[in-house]
Amino acid sequence: MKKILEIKDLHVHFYTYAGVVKAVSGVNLEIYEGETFCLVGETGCGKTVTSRAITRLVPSPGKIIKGEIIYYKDGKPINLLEIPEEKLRKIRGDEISYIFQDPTASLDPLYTSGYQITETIFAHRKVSKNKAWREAIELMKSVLIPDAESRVKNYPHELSVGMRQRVVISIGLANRPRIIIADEPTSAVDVTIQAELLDILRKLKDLYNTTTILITHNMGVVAEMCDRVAVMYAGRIAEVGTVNEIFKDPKHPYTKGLLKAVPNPLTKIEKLEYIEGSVPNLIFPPSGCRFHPRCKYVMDICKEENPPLFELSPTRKVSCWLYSPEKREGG
Amino acid sequence: MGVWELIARGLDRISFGIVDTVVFIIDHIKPGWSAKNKTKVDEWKLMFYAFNRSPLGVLGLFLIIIFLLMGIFGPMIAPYKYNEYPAQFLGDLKNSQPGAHGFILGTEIYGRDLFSMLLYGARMSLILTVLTIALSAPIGVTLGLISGYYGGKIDELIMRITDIFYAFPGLVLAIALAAVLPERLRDIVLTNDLLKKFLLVLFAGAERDAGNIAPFVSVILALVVVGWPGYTRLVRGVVLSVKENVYVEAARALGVSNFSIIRKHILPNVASIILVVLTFDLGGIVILGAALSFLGVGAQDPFTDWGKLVYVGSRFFPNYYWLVLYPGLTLFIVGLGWTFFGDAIRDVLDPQTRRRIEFGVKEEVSKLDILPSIGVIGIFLTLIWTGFDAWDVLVPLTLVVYLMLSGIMYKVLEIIVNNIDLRYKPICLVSVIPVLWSAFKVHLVGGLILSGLLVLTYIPSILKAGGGSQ
Repeated sequence: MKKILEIKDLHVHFYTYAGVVKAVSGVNLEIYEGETFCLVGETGCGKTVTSRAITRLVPSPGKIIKGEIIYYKDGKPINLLEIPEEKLRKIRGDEISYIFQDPTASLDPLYTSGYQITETIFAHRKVSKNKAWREAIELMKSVLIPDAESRVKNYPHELSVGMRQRVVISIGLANRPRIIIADEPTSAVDVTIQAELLDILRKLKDLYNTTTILITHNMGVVAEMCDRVAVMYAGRIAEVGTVNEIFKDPKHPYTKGLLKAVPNPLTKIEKLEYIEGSVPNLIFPPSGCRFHPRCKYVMDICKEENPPLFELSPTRKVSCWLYSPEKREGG
Repeated sequence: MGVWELIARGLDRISFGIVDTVVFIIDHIKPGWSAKNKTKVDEWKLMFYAFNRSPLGVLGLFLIIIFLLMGIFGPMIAPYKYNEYPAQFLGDLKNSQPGAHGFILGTEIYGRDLFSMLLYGARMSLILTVLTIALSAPIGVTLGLISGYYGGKIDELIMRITDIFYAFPGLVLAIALAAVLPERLRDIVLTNDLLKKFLLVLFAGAERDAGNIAPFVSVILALVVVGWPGYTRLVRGVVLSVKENVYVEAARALGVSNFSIIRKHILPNVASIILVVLTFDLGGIVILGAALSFLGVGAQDPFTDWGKLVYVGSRFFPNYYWLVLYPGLTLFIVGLGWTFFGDAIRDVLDPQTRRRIEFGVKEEVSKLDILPSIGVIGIFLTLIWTGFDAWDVLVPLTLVVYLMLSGIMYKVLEIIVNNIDLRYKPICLVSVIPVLWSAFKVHLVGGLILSGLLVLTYIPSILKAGGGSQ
C-alpha cells in the first residue's frame, strides 16, 4: 500500500493565560491511500487539533511547535508545514478537504446551499457558473438529497439538520479531494440519519477512491466504517492497528478500558465499567506515560519515561512499556 | 396602535407594490429570476412589513425623503438665487419678517429670501453628508475588516494609527483642519477646471464664487479625517466575533481565499451593523457640519448652509427670531429624521426582531379607533387651509381639550362595552386606569405637538406686539 500522508512527531501547543496547553505532543501516524482511517479518543485528547494541524488550521492561540506533515502527491513528498500559505490554500479543499461537525454552524446563513457548494468549486477551478451549478446539483443528488434541483436554492435555515449535514458533505466532496477529513460528521444528527450518512460516506469513498480520515469518539462508528484505527490519549497516540486487532485484542490498557466502557447489546451487565481517574490536565501533564495515574498495570518506568511506539507486527503499534522488547524477552 | 395598523396596511400596499415592480423589472432583464429567488423577495417584503409597523421609522423616512428632495431639487425650485438680494431695499430687518413682501419665511440679514437660502442650504448639507460618508465609511470599514480579520501585527499597526486619530478631540481636529486646508484647496479648485465645474454643479454655485467653495470642501475633508476611526473600531470589533463562526473556518479549510472570505462571509455579516451606524451618522454629520459652520469655519459667503444661517442669525435673536428659528428647525428635523429611521432600520435588519415584529402585530383593527385621529387630521387641515393668522389663542386650547376628551371618552366607552358585566364593578374601574392612562398619553403627546405647532405660528404676532412696544 502506498502512503499518502505521514505525520511525524507533531507537537501543537496552545498558549493560554493559564499556561501552555500541550494539546498534541509527539503524534506519529501513517495513512495509506484509499483506506478509512479512524482517530478515536475522548473529548479533549487532541484528535481535532491533530486533524486541523494537517493543513495548518490550528485555531489561535494554538501553534505548531515542531513536526513534519508529509503529503505524497503523485509519489512526491511535500511537507505541508513548510510550503507557503498560498500553495497550501490550493491544497485545502481541493486535495485535502474537510467535513465539519456542526452543520448548522458551518454553513453561512446568508447564502443558499447551492451557492456554498459552488463557492468551493470556484475557489479551485475555473468553470462557468452554469457548469458549477449543475455540478452542485449532481453532488447533492449523490448525497441523496431529494429534489436537489430546488434544494440548491434553499437557505440553510430552510433545511433539516440531516439535510444540512448532507450539504456540508457535498461541499467537502465538491472538488473530488484525495483525502477527506471528517470531524465527527454524525454527532449532530440522530441515529437513523447517522446510519444513512455513514452509508453515503462509504459509498462515495468507494466511488471516488478517496482516503478518509474519520474522527470520532463513537466506537460503533469505528467498527462500522474503518480499516485502521489510532487510539489517542492526552495528546499522544496510544495504539494503532486494524479494526479487528483493536477490537478483538486491545493491547494498551487505555484501549482495553475504553472498549469495556462501550455497552454491548449481546452481553447483559449490571453496570458499565469505566476507567478510574480523570483526563489529565494538559498544562501540567503527568510525567512519563500520560496514562500511568489511571493505569492498572503501572510500573516504575511508566512514571519516568514516555514509552515510544513499539512495533508488534507490521500493522500494530502500541505505546506502552508492557510491550517493550526487553520486557517481552524477560517475561 | 389601532390607527397606526390601518396606516401601516396602506403603506404595506405601497411598499409591496414597489417590491413587485422591482421584481417585475428584474424579471424582464433576467427571465425566471423571481421564481428562483422567491425566498429573497419574501424577505424583502417582510422587511418593509416590519418597517411599516414602526411609526417613528416611517416618520423618519418621511422627513428624510423631504430632506433629500429639498437637497436635490431645492436650488432649482428656489424662488430666488443664492446671490440675489431682493430685500436689500427694505433697509431694516423689521420689515422683512415672515410673510412680509411675499417672502414666506422672511429674509436673512443681507436681504436674501430665507426660504431660498434654506433650499440652497439643504443642498450644501446633503452634499456634505453624502461625500463625508462616501469617503470616510469605505476607508474605515476596509481598515476595520483587514485589522480584525488578519490580526497580529497588521491589527496592531492599524489600531495604533486609529488611536492616534482618536486621541484628538474630533471637533478640535476638524476645526484645525478646516482652518488650515482652504488656502491650499482654493488654488487647486481654481486651477483645475474640471474639478471646478464639478464642484459648481454639486453646490449649485455661480462661476464667480468658485473660490469660496474651498472652505466647505475642506470641512468635508476634515470630517472624513475625524470620521473614519469610528468605523474602523466598530467594524474590527464585529469582525473579531464574526470570524469565529464555524462557517468562516470551514471556508478556510476548503481553500477559499482570504479576500473572498472577507468579501463574502464577513462583510455581509457586518453590513447590517454598519448600515445602522451609518444612518445615525448621517444625522450626526448634518449637525456636526452645521456646528463647524456655526463656529465660523465651513461655508463662506455667499454660500450658506443651515449652521451658518443659525450662526449669523444668532446675533439678532430673539428680536428677529426667524433668522434662527427656521434654519434651526430644519436642522433639528433632519437630525431627528435620521435618528428615527436608524432606530427602525436596526429592528428591521436584525432577522430576529424582524420575525418578532412579524408575529407580534396580528391584532385586529377596530374601525372606531380611527375617529379621534381623523378629528386631529381634519382640524389640522382646516387650520392650514384657513391660514394660521385667523385663530386666536382659545382655539388651540379648545382643540387640545377636545382631542384629549374625545380620546378618553372613546376609551371609556370601549371599556364599558367590553366589561359590561356589572357584578365586577370595582375591578372594572381598576382595570380602566391603565387604559385611561395610555389613551391619555397618546392624545397628550398628539395634543402637545399640535399645540406646540400652533404656538409657533403665534410667535410672530406675539413678538410683533412686543417689538412694537419697544
